[in-house]
Amino acid sequence: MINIIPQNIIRFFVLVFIQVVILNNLQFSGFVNPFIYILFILLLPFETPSWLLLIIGFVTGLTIDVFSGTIAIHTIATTLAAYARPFVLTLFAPRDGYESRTSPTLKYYDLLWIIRYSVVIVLIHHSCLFLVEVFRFSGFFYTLLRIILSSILTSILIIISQLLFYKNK
Amino acid sequence: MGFKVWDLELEFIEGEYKSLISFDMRNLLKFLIHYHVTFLFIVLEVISFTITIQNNFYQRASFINNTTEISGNIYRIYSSVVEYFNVRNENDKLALENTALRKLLKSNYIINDKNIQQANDLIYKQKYDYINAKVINNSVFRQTNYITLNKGRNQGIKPDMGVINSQGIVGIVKDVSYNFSIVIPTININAHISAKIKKNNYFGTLSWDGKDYRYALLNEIPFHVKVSKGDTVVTSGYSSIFPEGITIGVVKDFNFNQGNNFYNIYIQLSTDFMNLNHVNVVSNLYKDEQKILENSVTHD
Repeated sequence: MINIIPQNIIRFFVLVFIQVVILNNLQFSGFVNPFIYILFILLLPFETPSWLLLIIGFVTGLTIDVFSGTIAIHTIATTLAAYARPFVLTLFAPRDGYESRTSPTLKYYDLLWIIRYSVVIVLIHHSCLFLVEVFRFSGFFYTLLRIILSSILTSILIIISQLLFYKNK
Repeated sequence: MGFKVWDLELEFIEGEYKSLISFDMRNLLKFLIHYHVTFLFIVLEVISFTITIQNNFYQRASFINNTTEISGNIYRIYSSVVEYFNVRNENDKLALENTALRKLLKSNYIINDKNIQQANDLIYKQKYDYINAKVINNSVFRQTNYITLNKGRNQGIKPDMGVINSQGIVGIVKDVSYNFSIVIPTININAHISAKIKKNNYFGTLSWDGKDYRYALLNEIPFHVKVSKGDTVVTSGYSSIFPEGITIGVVKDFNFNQGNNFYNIYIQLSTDFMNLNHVNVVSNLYKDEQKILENSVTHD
């Protein structure tokens, strides 16, 4: 149980590194940007208290902002995603609740659950991010298209990473 | 006897009052504890929104300045590695620029105008100075793209200086720290640059619609002006940021909205923002003088 903390810290650095060094420079076409760092918030253990979740979300967003040269838009979006996570977890809870000492990974839950859980959080995060980035409602459908396409790409990356690292059935 | 009763009454009232207060405080505390997550959430969001809005209206906070120093150093290391992949491309570009500059050498021209020779020192007074810098971080796919340069205040870069490269204009310096500076490129939805059509000198404002990093919009060109595809668009030199006549791009397409007196002109930008490496920061040596004069007129 004690190695959960170093494990998460390492995951944080790896995801921030991937986001900043690779994904921020390797956009696929005009308006599709994957933001894989949200996976860090998704994978935190179930027992994480909500207030800690918020602080972690805030710090994660701030780190990405500093390295992307954007001002606080990732912070706003990631804090919102961290706030929403407990509600989404309650929404998708299994009949007998979450077992303790498990984490939201493919090791403990089936693929369909992972997909539903990830897609909802990613949609919340990306919607907030792109709307705040544009900061206006003109060209709303263009923004909407960016949100949907980017969310799909991020979700696919998240599912792939789950299949790669947690599939041991 | 009466005295004691009075005392007791007072004590009683005070006690009730106290319990009333503590009751209220307890309720408030209970409320706070019950909703502490939501409160924390609101506080954090207010903090981050404040940072965002402050930045939209004012210069970046010194907080950002300091963080730029940290992330800037990491990007410098990163770009020193990536640089090698672009060496061939960059060499080709530099060679082309060398040729272009060689054509401009004074020895290539015969000076036969007597006026120029007489007034040599006045004609050749230097107005613009250039500082070479390297791009260490760049984005093209966001709505608010920014570029980070490896030089800053210590190397003489100040906010509101223009940035160009061998292909054309790049952007305007927004903020500087000691060793790094941040540039708003043409392809940022908040960027507005004064531009004109080279062949007839009509000027308008260049802006970006946030869609494709290769194209920008030229607004405020009135409908009676003759525009055709392939016209070159250059800087106007009115803003005292860029010298006059730096290439921006060519007219790719244009149309005309009903009920509007101005064209919508689409410009194909000559600068390849995807592939930026070496840039020149333009310093206008007479900028302060021009600004003071212009301000003194508007204050009348």
